[in-house]
Amino acid sequence: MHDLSLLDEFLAESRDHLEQVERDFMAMQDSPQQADPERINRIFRAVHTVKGSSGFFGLIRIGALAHAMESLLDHVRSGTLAMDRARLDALLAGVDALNALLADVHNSNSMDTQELERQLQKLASVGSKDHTQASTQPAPLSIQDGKIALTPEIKSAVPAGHHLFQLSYNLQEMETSRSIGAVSLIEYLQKMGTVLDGILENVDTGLYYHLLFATVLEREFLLGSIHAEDSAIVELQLKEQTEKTVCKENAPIASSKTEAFLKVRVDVLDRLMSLAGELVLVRNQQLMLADDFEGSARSTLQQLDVVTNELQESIMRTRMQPIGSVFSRFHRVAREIGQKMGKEIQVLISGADVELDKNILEALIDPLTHMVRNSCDHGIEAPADRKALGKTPAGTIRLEAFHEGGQIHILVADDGRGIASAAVRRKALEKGLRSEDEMQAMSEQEVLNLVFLPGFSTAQKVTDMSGRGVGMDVVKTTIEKNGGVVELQSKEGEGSTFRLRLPLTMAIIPSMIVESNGQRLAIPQISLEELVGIYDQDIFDQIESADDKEVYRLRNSLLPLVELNAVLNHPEPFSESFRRELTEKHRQERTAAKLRYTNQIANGITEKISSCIAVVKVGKFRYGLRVDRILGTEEIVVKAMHRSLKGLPLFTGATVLGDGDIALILDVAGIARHAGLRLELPALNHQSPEIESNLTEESLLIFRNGGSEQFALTMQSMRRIERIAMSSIQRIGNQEFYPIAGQLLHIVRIDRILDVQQAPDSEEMFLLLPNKSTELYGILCHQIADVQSFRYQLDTHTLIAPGVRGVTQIDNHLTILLDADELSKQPPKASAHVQR
Amino acid sequence: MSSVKDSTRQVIALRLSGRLFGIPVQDIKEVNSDVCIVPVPHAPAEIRGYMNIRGQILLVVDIRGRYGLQEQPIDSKTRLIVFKNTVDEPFGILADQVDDILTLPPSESDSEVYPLADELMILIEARSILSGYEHTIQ
Repeated sequence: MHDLSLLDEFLAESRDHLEQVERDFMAMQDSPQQADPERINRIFRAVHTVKGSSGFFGLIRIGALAHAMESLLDHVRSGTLAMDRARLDALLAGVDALNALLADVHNSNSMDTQELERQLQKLASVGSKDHTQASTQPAPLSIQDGKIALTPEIKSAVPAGHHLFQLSYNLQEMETSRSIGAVSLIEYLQKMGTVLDGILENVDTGLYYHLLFATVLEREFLLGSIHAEDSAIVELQLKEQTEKTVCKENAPIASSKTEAFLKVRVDVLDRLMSLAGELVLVRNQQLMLADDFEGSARSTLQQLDVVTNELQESIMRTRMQPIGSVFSRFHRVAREIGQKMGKEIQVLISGADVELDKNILEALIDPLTHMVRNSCDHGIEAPADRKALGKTPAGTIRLEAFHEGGQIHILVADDGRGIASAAVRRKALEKGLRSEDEMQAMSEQEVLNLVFLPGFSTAQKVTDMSGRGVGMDVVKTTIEKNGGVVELQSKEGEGSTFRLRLPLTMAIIPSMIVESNGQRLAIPQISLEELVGIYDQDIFDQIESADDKEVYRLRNSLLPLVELNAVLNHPEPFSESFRRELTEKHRQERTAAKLRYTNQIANGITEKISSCIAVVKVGKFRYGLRVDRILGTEEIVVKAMHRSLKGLPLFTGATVLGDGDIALILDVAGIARHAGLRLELPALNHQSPEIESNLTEESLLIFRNGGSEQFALTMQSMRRIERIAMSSIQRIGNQEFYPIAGQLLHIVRIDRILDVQQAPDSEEMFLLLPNKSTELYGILCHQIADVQSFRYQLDTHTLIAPGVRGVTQIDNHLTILLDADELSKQPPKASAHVQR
Repeated sequence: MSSVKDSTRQVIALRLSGRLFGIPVQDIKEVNSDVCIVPVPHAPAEIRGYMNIRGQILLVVDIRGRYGLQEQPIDSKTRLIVFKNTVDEPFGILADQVDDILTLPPSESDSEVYPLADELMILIEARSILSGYEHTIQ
């Protein structure tokens, strides 16, 4: 079934068009014969639009009636028929009938409008029989002396810049001596141009098939490539026709405007998009091999890199649609709700030209509609109430879209009554969504965001507007499914603002590649909160078994643990008894491992043991996913799962990694469900209340450089982390370079910029590649300690040095927060330091 | 095109666990060696996994099970018959060995089995291989 909101949109648009059409017809009532051509044109276009969209929804009666009206209008427009009273009346009757069909659109296909259609057809045919035929079906080709007679219809069907040829084939000869049938011949020709029409001619020498073939190719190129003799290819002249068109076009601006846009099929765009994605993969594979390349091959590769990026961006752009197309519908939504509820609501739109990926935009329609309805319904007060509060009688809903920090921000803000956090608290308590204690620990902001929980609604009464069972939780899940975030801000008495943040496109996503069960898997960065490595004794101390579940003690919270291996190896959703068994098995394994470990320690063997946990989030709910190894981040091109695997809840797609291997993309929500975690109850999450004020929360990359100092860079400033072999570092004087992607990366050692301990010699080190640096540049480090989201307070006084933002305490470690941007400006100093 | 050429049919003959199968040539895009499969956990048994062919991700199916044939390990002789994208979303089936292209005379029946001189060939309708899979996964 078609998306109902699309149908709603079609209905709304069609009614708008018909309203305008009716007004236009009314305006020509007095003297139909002198109707303004521009007016007729406008009517024609409106009826044509209704016809076109009706086909999309399979509304055949609406389509047929609009088609009959359109044919008549076409004749009036082109001047072959004059507008008169009878035609005007019939067209107006058509408008009425269309309105009636639209009013009961689901039954419209079984309504009978054929009488009116016949009448319109008759009126369209008076005095101009040929044209009526032409509009319904093309006139049959006629052939004279072996030459096809050209009609204006044929000429107009030839695309601009194309040549028109008549190709004549002897069918018998083709079949017998070349074994080419007519169908395969046409299929073959269609690859080089367009076969417009064809006609069979039976003469003494055989059965001839004359084809009208339009192509951009010149005659000499056709020779020898289309199985036709020289004499069988005749170019037909189009010239006089083109001249006529030029004369007719008295509005050159309009024509150039139409050329600037082109309707393109979405599946073609999707194909282009996936091809560009594949090109990116090939490029990545080439970049990986770049080390082996010689100079010239390397520069070609760099060019490939640049072109690929641009190509990909351009193709992505073709899928971008202005958000205004969605925003604009809310004028009507607000007006309708306002009328029903006796409110005055105006909608202000800004950033209508901000563009979003088509898929994201489509997914946004429902959530946005819900938020706007919610504002109209619950937010904006009645005019009298507003006056009493000293507000303007008309309420305002602002819809805003803008770019910021590589994301699209969308605001839905109203100046209504706002949401009282006390009311939210009460409601959450009443509905048993949160306990008093839990809410005590929450900030105002966190309390407000409880409205996104399933089963929450602050509405005093359920109206037919927003209380339709689609709650804010659906809004939230829809946004999150599209890689976005939604937040609610509100001040009682002043209004509420929904703030949405969405990625620019969903086709390429940064992901963490992990290994489990012997295969590589990708966790989208958006669902990843942090990575935790637990070592040695901590494995036994911090992982605990509780009945049928395992938990990991992460700082002050208990995190449910899921072992990815177990999930991958067990196709059935975990039953309670299976969870119990599994937990018991893991407990025994841990006990055994602990025994081994303690024995080894006792015997003086210090073999390191470790365990990797990816802390992932599903909405506000977090859990730990135990994986075998963490391999690093990679930007991946998402490919949908094969049709026959769409039902698997564990994966959202697959991707080809840089080395050509395939990784499945994990759906952390699906995994949680499969493993039997209850997502709606983050009861295990006892986060201590925190003072929001001067704490920043940011995702940090924590690393050490061999010495005792701990450093941090914001993840936002990082492009990627590269594990490098120190032996491949190349030196020029004091400067060090590392070849990567065909280019030499300047290596910066922190110990040469700052007064810190020097990195020890080691065969393998890490190179941190900053995001924005204009120079090719990487920061060398010895050991990556952690990547996670921290709340920290920055001390900017204790350590003042170039490239240092300040110091902070992270997990009881003094940590130097570096500024990658600043650091990238340091290289000259770096070498100066070495000389010192 | 099919309406013109349907009089004779060309099929690729292949062997699965010794059994002879035929697939219409017009459904086949290419035959690949170097079969290297990444398994998809929880997929139905017949779906062996994904394979990367020049950046395209392809579903690999082993149809032995439905003919009661024994599963075989993948080795250097294993071939992957890749179907055209007009057949279904990208996928291919495994074959132990690809023999030859045979031209079959026109047939009146749509029979799945075609008798050759010394053995029977099972004709595979590519479009029906994956039908019904969406329903087997919940």
